[in-house]
Amino acid sequence: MTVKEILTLGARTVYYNKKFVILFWGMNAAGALILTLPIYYILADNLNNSILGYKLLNEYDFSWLLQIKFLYAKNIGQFPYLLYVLTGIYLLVQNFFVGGLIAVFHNPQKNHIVDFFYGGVKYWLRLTRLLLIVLVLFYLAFKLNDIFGNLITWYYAGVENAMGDFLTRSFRYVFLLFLIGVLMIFSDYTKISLVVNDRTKVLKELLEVIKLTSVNFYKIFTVFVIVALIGGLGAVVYNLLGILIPAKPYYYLILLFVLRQMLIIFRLLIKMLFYSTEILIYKDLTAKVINVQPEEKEVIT
Amino acid sequence: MKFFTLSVLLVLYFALGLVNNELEKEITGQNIEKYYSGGLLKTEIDKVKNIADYLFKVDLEPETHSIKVDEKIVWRNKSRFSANEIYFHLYANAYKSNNTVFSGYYKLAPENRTEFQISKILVNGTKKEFIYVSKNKNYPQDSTVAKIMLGKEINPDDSVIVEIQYRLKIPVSVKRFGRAKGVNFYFVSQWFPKVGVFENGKWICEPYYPYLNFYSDFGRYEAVISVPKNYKVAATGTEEGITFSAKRNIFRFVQNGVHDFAWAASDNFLYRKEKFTRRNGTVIRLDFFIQPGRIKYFERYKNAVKNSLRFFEENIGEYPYQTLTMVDVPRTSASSGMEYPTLFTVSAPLISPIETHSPEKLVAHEFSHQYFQGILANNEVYEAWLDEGFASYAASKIMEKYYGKGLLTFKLAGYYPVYGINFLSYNEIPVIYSIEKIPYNEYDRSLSVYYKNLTLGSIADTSCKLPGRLSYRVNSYAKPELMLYSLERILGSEKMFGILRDYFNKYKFKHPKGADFIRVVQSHTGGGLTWFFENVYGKSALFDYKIKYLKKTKKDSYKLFCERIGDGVFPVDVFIYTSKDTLRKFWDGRARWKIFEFSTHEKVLGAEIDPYRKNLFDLNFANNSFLLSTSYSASLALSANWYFWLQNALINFGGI
Repeated sequence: MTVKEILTLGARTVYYNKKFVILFWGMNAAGALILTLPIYYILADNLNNSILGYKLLNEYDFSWLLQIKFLYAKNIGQFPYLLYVLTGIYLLVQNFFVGGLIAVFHNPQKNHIVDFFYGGVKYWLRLTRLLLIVLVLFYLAFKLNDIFGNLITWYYAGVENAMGDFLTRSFRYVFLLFLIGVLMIFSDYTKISLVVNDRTKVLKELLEVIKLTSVNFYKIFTVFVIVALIGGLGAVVYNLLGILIPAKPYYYLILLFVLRQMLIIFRLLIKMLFYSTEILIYKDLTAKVINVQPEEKEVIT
Repeated sequence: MKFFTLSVLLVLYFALGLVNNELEKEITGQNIEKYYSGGLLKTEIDKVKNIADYLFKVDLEPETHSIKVDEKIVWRNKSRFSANEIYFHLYANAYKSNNTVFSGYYKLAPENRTEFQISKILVNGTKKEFIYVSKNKNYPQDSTVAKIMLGKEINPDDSVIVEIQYRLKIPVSVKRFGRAKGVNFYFVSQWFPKVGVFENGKWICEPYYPYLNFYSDFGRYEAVISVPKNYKVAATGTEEGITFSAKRNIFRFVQNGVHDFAWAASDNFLYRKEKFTRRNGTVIRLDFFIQPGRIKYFERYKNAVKNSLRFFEENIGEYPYQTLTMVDVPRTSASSGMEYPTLFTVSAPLISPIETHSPEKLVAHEFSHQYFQGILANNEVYEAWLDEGFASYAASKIMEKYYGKGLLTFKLAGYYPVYGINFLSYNEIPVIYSIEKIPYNEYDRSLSVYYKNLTLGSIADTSCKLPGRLSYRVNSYAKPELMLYSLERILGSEKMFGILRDYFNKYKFKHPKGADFIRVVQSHTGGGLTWFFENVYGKSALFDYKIKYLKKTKKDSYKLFCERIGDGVFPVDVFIYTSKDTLRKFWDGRARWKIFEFSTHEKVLGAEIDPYRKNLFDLNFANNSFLLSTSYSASLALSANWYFWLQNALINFGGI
């Protein structure tokens, strides 16, 4: 399959299964809501009876932001932990949805909600095992990034070349993003492999996928980057439209809220596009080659 | 030998003097002799009381990273008391080992270490020795203070001549003094034995603290500095000429009416000369020594220096010296952001749009030290707030006047500035962030530092006794800046600058103390601000004024309950907003609470304590006001932003 065919068919698959985005969106919205509530209560406590609230609707007040960080330091200090715990739960629930989504994408005839949930239940445990392995790989990638960073700091501590330092650090940054991309590709394709082939040996599948992707890296990575760029395009459009929405009066914020939810839904659709294109590529690359050479047979007349 | 040396110096003096006049005319377009003497405006000479004069002959040897120095000091006893000993600051010895007061904060690797290697000390021609005096019980081996027993009394108006010969290796800089790595750049500060201050019959001579500077008397400084041919020298004072020889260049600098001397040498500087014309038409020579990679910042550096000069001339007082030198230090040097008489050091980030106010604010801050500590030479070891606090305040005012509000940024890959706020990042990857142009107030940085340490120490505390760097930063930089801002908001800008002008004129070329500044303020305000200095300066009081409620008691009658939660007292305006008007009340802020009962036919909307935010120390601006009807719009709107950022963060995490 060509890249163009993959993207077209992938987009078509997402379009036919667009209803599932509601589940992803619902989960995302609920997760963000849980995390927003503590912040909302802090803001309500601080601003609901204050004239400052009105001022903040019209202009920034960085002094106030510093104060709120100081006044609610204990609550805000606990926020990252809450975020990490909720992210953990989010990932576990997402595994459930992803299992269902890949099952449905793999078998387009079965695009009912029932099939989706059946797939989710069936593959959840193996996808969760994979998640644990991938988290270890992410940890190693960040550790490698740390070591790389320390090396750069050590080297440039005695070198009068700020541009060199900047470029090396930028390269490190890009390299980290590349590593994250590669790990996401490994993770996605292993999920696909586990579901498509209905296999349970996670580590073995992961190693198979690494082999497969390294052999077909160009094609796989090209599609990955193109889909990511389409996603980036959404952010650009959002920012361009966002500028057009006036900051006041404050009810324009409702319009901004709608626009933001459109961006979130778009990003989730892009996530689905990643899976759909990856399934197509995976199936294409792992398809058995059947010898279709016509054989001449003696015709008995 | 001594005669020969002096003869050579004399010949050099006249030879270089001739060259200098032509050089100055070329730069300033003026005959400087008409206006200046020894680098100081002739109109100011009478105001200076020179106590310690210094003459240096210095050879820089880059091969060994060391200097060879002949130093001659003439110290005059201008006090009412006799002295039989002289105390010296030997601040380069702070870098001797990890047993010095300085090393309590900056750990010294072998490459960061050095000490004076003194070969000769003569007092009035008689051989003498340093006796080291360690004043800090925790660091008995600290040798940054020493004394010489004179053997006879130096009576008032007598003088003594001290000659010292020494070598000093210039270490890799860990802070202030030292050389850069990867480039030939030497920043030479606190490099010579410097006489302490003989005050009220006793010597004030403190060890070298890690984050404090120095205290010394005014004098005339002259330095003849010999460097390899390809080196340029930037130094305190006016360059009075250069002698070129086959292998060496010899620079001569002179400055009258200063209390320290620092210099820098490098074969990698780019030199730019400029001038600033005072309102009376006289000219200040501006020397810029810039790293080649930062030449793109030259215009911004120049504008920042000129704006600072203009601001001070218009609001506080005239810069009295002939020359101002700015040294842009390499990134591998730890000498950036330092101030010395007529010279200061800066640096700039690789990428820095003007809206970030960097390097402009650093330039403005370091320049402001020319006044606050340079000309108003307070004891920085005891009252650092008098220079750091005032410099911070002045720099903020300069930024407000010439550059407007700065924009918040966070950096990608350690260098690339992005406008906005980064609330949470992991491994340098922003997780929860907002990309938008968010302006900040110049004093916000001080607010942020103040909130890290509300109560440990007060501005009035002796700086060198403050328990740690944070306490020092809060009480020397942040709180004094906020105090001066609050003072300005109470008095109005015009009165505030009138006070600063008066303070400057009264104490220039002297050693003012905190009490002197307060006296000047009180003289301008009829003594009405005692409460202010008691609460803000003398103790670490906490301020929080709150409106607990505003309610309707009966038709057209209302009750407003104001509360003082903190222990700090600050008289406040109280505004009551109605649909058509604002009712203005005043509360002296002393009682724990105050109830205002009032009647109005208008619809009452809300009330506010301190509506102009005069008290920047108030810990909660939001509870200063109260709305009669609860409004959810702000908390919902801000939460909606937060909600969106979290949705994005979850999608990013969900990609795993």
